Amino acid sequence: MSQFIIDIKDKTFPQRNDQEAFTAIQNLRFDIENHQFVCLVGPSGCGKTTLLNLIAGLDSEFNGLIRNSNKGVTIKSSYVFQTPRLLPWRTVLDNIQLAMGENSSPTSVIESLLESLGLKNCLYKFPQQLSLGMQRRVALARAFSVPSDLLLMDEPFVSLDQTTARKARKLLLRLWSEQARKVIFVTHDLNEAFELADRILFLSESPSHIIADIPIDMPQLDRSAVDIKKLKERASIDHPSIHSLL
Amino acid sequence: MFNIKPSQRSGFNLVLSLGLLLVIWQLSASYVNSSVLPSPTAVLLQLILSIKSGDLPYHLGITLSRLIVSFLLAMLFGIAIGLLLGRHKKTDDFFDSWLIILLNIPALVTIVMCYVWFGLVESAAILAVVVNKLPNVIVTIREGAKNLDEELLQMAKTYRFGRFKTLQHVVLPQLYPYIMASARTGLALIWKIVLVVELLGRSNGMGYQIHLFFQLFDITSILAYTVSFIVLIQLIEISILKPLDKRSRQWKVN
Repeated sequence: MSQFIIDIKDKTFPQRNDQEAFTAIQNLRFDIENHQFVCLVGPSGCGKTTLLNLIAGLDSEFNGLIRNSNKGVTIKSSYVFQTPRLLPWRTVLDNIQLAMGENSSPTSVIESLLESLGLKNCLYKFPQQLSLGMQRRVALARAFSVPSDLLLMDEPFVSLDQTTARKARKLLLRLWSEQARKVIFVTHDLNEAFELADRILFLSESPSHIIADIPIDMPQLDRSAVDIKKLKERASIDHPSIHSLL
Repeated sequence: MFNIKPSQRSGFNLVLSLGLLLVIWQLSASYVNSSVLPSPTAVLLQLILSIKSGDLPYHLGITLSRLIVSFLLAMLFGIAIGLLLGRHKKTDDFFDSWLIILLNIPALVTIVMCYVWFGLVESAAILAVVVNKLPNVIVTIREGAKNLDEELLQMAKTYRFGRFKTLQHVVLPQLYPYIMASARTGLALIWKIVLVVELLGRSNGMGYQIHLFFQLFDITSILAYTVSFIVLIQLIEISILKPLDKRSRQWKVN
């Protein structure tokens, strides 16, 4: 099993016009192995999205390294952004196939994936013909269709109503159990984190670093609302440093 | 009371307004009653005559081919340069003054200079037209390139679209309105410049013919040629630009 090492010594945004230079991340280090589902939790503005962009390779201006433990093997990641980010001028099918690239799976495979996400007869629709919740599910389907070792998710269910968000989380867990891979999931919703994660990393205010690393052993699908509450309580007793976030 | 579709109504309005224009033209022509303002019927007869003799189709064809070649060249280079300047701020800052100079050189000066430097040849004529249109395309496309959606570009990067796929599926669809705008203004501007280019240094095409008619004081023929060209440009608009527009908008709800 491969292991990914994320070790960021320093990520600073340079001074620009009237804004002063800003250090977003400092000495943030963690490994992620097997098919771990990691949730990142932290106060807003602490650099969670910045961190995901670094890992995704969208921003390469930082000190430190992000790499596969097998040297020379690159990390292939797919990314579910805060907004769906679908191409409005391409159909749902085109959006997914474009992301998959040359070795795109046949239409029928994509269709059955979409159907399992409750998106029947959407293949040839344009994103604007779908609701926001449906667009997010298309984005999820896109991320899972692309062969990747690491799935990055940046508050993908924010601004969905509670019921839809709960359904989406269940779908995510099902997809993840079917097509296991490493996941880094950013959220500010602790219940969401305790529902989904194998391991929760708590980040400090910026310049952010890890203040607590809490593993959760109970399988996700077995967790009830009561379990989640208990897990939260235990975490707050074991790690007083995260008290302000709970 | 009347069940008229909006498209029918706009067609009806068009006929009405063009008809009014014709009536005004006819009335003033009969009022002035002089060879400097021929009546619409006289122009129409002359138009038919020129088409039958083969003169008009020949010169119109020549002008049209010059228009198409210089239009395509100006659009191609304009889009490429506009995209480059819109995406690279430093390059843009550096070359901005060049663009302002280009924009402000009178069309006549470019044409004369091209003929002086390269001789009275076809390529000089085309170059003169392209140089006149190019800065307009660049400025419009640059504006579009500055407004590209960064989030979609990031998406394309994470999903490893590559240069060509990003251009085709992410960048060009966003530039489309800007491309159409510069195509429309371009068509109108270019054919006017082509005529001047032909007048100054070519021995065929509409510009040359109009120059000839001017010396013969044949106003009827000048108007006949003008009408034929306006009709042609309208046909291009209806048969090429409008359908392209419609196709590119199909993803928009409503």
